[in-house]
Amino acid sequence: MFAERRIKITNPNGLHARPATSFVKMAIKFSSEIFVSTENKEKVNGKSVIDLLTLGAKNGTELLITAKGEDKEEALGVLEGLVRNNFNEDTVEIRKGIAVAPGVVIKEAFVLESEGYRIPRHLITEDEIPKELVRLGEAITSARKEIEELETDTSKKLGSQVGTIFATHKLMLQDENLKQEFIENIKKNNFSAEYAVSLALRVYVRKFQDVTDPYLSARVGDIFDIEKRLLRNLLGEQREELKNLTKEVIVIAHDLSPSQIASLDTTKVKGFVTDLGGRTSHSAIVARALGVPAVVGLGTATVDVFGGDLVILDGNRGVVIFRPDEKTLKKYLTIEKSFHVFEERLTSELKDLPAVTLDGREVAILGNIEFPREIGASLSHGASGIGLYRTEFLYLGSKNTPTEEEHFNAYTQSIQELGNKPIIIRTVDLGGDKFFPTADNNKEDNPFLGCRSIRYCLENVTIFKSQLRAILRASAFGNVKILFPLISSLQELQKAKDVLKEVKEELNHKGIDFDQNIELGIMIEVPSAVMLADILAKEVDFFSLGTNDLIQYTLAIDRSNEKVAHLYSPAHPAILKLLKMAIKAAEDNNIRIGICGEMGGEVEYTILLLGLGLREFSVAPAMIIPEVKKIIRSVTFERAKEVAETVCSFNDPAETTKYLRDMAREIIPEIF
Amino acid sequence: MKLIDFIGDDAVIDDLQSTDKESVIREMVGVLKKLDKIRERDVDDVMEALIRREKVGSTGIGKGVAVPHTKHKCITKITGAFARSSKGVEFDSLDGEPVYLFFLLLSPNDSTDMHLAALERISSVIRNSDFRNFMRDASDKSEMVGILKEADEVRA
Repeated sequence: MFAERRIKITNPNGLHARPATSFVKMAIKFSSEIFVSTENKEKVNGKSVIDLLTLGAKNGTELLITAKGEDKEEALGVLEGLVRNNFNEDTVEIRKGIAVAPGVVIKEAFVLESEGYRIPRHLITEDEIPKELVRLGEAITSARKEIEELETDTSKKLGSQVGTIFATHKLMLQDENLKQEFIENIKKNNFSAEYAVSLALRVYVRKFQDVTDPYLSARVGDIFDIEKRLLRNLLGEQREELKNLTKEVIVIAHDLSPSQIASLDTTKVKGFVTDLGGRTSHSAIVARALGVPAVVGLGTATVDVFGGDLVILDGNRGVVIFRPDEKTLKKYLTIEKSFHVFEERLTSELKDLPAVTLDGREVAILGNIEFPREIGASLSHGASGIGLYRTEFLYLGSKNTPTEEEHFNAYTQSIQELGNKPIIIRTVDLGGDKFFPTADNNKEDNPFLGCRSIRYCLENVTIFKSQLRAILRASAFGNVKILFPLISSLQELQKAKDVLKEVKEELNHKGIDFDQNIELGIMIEVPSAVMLADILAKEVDFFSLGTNDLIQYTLAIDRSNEKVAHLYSPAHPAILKLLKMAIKAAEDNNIRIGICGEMGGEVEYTILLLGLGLREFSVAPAMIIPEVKKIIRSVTFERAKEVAETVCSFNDPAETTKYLRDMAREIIPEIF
Repeated sequence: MKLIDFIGDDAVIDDLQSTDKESVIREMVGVLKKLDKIRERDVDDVMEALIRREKVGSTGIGKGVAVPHTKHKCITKITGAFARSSKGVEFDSLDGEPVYLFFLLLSPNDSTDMHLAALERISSVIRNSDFRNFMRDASDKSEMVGILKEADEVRA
């Protein structure tokens, strides 16, 4: 009777010589006959390296491992573990994601998982066997003690009948045969105690799952309990838990929720890597706030990296390297150094030069910030002001709604740093994916189409007014402008303006000083606002293009949904048409228009945006500023207009992106 | 992929002089250098990489065959050499047997699939006991090249 397992190869280099050798070395420890086949290749002897290599199995190939003999289940368990563990290969992996917070850090990975334990090490050396056996013995003893205590405790509280539910656990932990299997795994296979326990128990789980007796199959839960208990005892302090990080780490997560962020020990977190997300995802924002590098949108980081692996995180270039070998580490440091030299050169060369095209068209480059402390970096990279201050980040980490004074203090702190340079303060853009102020908010089925942003403010006028008061009061001390987010109709804008007017009158009444001519702008980030741009333009002093939401709402794509994220493109012809419309409406009505969405900070789009007529770019992170400036200073406005016209005739976003990227690459080869 | 495509007629040694692991590899790398398949200044680097690979685990894969190999940035096109030792060389093989036939394989850094395909090709050929026996009995280099080409014909 053959038993079989199907396992996909996940190591990047496939079943090459070293993995094949590891496989055979493991296979020959069992008496069972072992065969391996793939979809395309007939089965070969699993105990011969030569045979295995004839499979030519690449990364992603599914292996069918079959075994016949007394120890077939154990053999398959071990071999499955080996394949799943990437044949215990320490493979360097270089991955490219989206750079969202600058800086470079080299630290161990801390993989954030919702449940379960991660086994940090699978194999040990011959010398370590005695130590592992001692650890195993101790873990079993303390697990037994725990269960006995639980039993006594439960019996006391709920009666001895109930207490006996722990009897099975106790019996299993006393079972000499099971213990012997753990020991064998350590001695014979050089497995770590954790791996030995886990593997042996998983064999039982399979056996129990296979039987039809409901009593026996219900024991599966007991086995899992025992496994968890033993692992917890074995891992002890090493157990990965968010709140008690013992050393500095790079957090690797699928995505980070605000509550996870709240529980982070921020003194130990030195960087973030996530599978999902973009420049405005929580992890990106928190990283910038903490001043640590982050790369997001890596797809499968949480699967590719194991807790404790060394990780190089390059938040400047969006590169993440898992398990670098010494050579890579050394090589990387050199590349890194020269890149820094390039960045610094570019910054120092361009910092004090104006952003002006070859034919004299002047452009303003400003910075996007979430926290006042980011202003310094923007200015030192040559920003002429702040084009977007996302004030909803005052809510980050605070349980209560920020007070007027808290708003005011943040704004005056910003003004102090900026001197006379302008700052555009956007009223809170809460909701959607961003933290909500109160716990009692009713969960919405469709938060992005729900009561978010300006709609929330108009529903909660007290909150809105206290922020507007703070902004107006601050305007007495510097060059402050107000920006309303998510305007989607004229009536909505008028309502918001009415509230602003009321607050102004209130302040005048009280004799509190503020800029009577404070400029007001709106975000153009909903398709309806573009359609109405010519009407809305008559009501405000400036427009700011919020491309992130505009793209999401126009193309009906949730970028945090990995199934559709690839369809998200600023180069979509529909988006370009909308940008053109909005810019034309602004020009016709003689009001200013800028961009503060991510698209403005992606240098491949700089020439296009310039050619479409934009004169204000507000970007993040700060190190992008010199790059955008470099591009602007390298073209003529005439040429940019031609480029814009050309790509507006393309129907395929991919073609547009490639065309633009090639052009930007010619100007700054180093950034791609 | 054919063996002869990456080994070529010239990179074949019919009688290795070396008697230990490191010098066998050095002798084979020497042939590739002579044929200008690797540059003089890269020899040390490549040797170091090959030896390091052997330290991770022997490439003696059994049945009297070893496949010393590495990926290296100085290699632009997959390239190889084939050699025979009449006395056999102790190579820490998986099956403990001495090695008589050697395939040296050098791949560019980014050639994962080509590297796998080359290994697949080599292993399918050496799996055949006739190939191994004929190769060991071949009278000279040209006969060995002939067998390589013949093996390519069987299942290219």
